[in-house]
Amino acid sequence: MNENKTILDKVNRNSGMTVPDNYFADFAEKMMRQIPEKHEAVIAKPTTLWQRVRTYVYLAAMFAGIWCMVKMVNLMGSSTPGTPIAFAESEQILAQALEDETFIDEYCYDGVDEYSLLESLYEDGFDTETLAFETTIK
Amino acid sequence: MNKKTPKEDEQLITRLRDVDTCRHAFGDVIKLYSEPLYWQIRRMVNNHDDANDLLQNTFMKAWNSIEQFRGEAKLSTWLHKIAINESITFLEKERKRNNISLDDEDSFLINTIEADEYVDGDELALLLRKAIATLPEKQRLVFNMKYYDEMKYEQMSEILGTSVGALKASYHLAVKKIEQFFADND
Repeated sequence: MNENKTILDKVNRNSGMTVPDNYFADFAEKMMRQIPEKHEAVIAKPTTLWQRVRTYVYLAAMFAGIWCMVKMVNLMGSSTPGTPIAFAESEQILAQALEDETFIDEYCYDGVDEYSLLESLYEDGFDTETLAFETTIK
Repeated sequence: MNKKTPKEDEQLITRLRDVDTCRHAFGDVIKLYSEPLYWQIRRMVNNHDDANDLLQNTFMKAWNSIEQFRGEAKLSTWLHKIAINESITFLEKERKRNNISLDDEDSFLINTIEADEYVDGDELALLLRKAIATLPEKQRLVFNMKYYDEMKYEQMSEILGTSVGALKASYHLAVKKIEQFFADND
């Protein structure tokens, strides 16, 4: 390491490579000829109000959109059965149906089988054999 | 290495911000930084003509993207970053163009050094250039910045985006390898 330090110290840091005569003196001038003109302020161009706030405006618009979508979904969801509006509508239909005798005959009575009917009568005190009301009091 | 004070740098940046003075101020930037940037590039590419082209590209890029420079970093740090990126990109293109693998890069660079016409005949300096050419790219950069430019590790860290500790280790390894190169070529 020490020997190497000596070697590195021996080397002239500014020697080894050269440049053409007057290279650095001419370089700046040549370079400036190549550089195009700038027609606007170059550093820290003042930003417009729109440029500063547009990100926030986009964000606000996005959230407003999401809120509208959520609201719309809620409104659509509220018209499903079980909600007051739907119940009022279905109640009206049910009332109309119950007034219709054909509907009752076909859909209500036809749905009761004989066994259920007999069981129901038995529970109400009818003698299911004779179909007479049991009046025996013990 | 450029010895500008932060205040001078600040004044230069203020002039660069003004549309009326920016062009003239950039001329001063070129005068101030062309030499240190040139040597930074030249030590990487080892050829005057390539270094000259890359230096021009560096200043052209700096001028075209000066709107992005906000003065948060030092002007010299920003310019060195551009110069290093230009050099690395150039070397990568050269490697691809000549179909050279990373393992063969040192012999490619040594050939470039030997073909360089702008040399002063200092044999020891030439041997050191060849020793540096054998280093991996990052170590070469770190060694050049520390040994030739006498740059502080903190500034190197800002330019290269590497921790100070890693840079110190890198420099130590580079010195070891150069030591070995000199021993082998004694």
